[in-house]
Amino acid sequence: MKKKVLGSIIFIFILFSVIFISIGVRSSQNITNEQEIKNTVIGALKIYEKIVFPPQYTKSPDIPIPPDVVNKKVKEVTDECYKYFSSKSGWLDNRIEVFKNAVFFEAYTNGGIRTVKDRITDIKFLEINIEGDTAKVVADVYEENKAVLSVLDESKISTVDLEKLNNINVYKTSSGNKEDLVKKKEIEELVKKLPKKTDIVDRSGIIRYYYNLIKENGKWKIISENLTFIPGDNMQN
Amino acid sequence: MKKNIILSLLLIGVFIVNCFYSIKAEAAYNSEGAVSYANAWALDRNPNYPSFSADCTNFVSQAMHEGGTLPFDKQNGWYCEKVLWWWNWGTAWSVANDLYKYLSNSQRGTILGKWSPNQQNDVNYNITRGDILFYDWNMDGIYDHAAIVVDYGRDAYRPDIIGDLQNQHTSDYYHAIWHLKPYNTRASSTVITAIRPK
Repeated sequence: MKKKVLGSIIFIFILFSVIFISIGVRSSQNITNEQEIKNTVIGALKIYEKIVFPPQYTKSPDIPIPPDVVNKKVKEVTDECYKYFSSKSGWLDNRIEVFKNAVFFEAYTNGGIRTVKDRITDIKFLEINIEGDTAKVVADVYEENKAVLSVLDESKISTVDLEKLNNINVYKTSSGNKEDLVKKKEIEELVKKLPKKTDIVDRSGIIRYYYNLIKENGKWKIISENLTFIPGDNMQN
Repeated sequence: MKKNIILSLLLIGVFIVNCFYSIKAEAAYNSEGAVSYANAWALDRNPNYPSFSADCTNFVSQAMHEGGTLPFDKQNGWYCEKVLWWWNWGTAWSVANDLYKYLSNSQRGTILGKWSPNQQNDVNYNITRGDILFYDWNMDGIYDHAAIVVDYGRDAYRPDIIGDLQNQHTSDYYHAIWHLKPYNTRASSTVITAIRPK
């Protein structure tokens, strides 16, 4: 009788031990997965920081950047893509193309604006849902971003020209007609000729990211992303 | 007798055709009306509509419907109505990518162009007042944001920038430069498409 009771106690002890150990292993696996997922997301987000050119080129958007510096930057940025994005569903190729073009945009500033600083100050992970080899992540990214842009220097513009700019009235007539386009062209040509200055603009803000990840050859990689700007100062949508 | 019948049929036919024409005339997009609405509500919320935390597309849809006089299209998800005490709306009314899909149908809109970051100059000769702008922040092919073109002139927040201007909700802007480069941390990966509603 005693032997039977002892046997049952040992059996229950072993059973509970196995259950606790497996729960422990699972939760430590989850913690490891979560950490790996966080690292992937952080790494991917930090690519935007790497797009920024060294300070000697960011004093003005008009400073030409030598091709070898641009190419080096393209390589640096696209190399990062392989670490964090999945080649499945064409996402890696898409990201390589996007980041390559982002570097070109910064280098050859047609729009007269160049990023001076891009720094992630905080990332708040709101949700990490892991199901087997797939995961969904929601994170708020706090980003400090400054850009230098070329704008009109109104202190050096004559009152006659200022008057023209202040009374544009392109759309006084019905919208989209030929007269509007001619007037637009006139003003564009005038603006091109007027004196310019550089100015710094603060674009800092918060972006909410939604990621889908998969485990590929033992590593967590991003297969899609969605983002929305959180309303507030200096924000976009 | 036969002549009378034929004449009556012809008259009925003319009447029906005329009805269709007048319906079409009523449904045509009033771009100036849409701009007036967008200017009136750019920095506020119309209490006659629901408002969302991401309100950009809801705002653009309101401008198209209230000012632009486009009728609801319930069958295709572009509507917003109050039923008793709750609101019903379709995804084309409130989601940027769904409104893009709705308007990119040639019967409802004309795609005016698609501009990658280095094609986005301050002046855009393809767009005019009342046109709808769609922004894809990360070039993944899904539009994340919508706004409406309202003027050409000085950016209200950066008067030293002159070009085509837009109004938008979520982060509310009244007369901001259409490409948003001075405000957009993702300017280097933002693609913009413009559509003129019909």
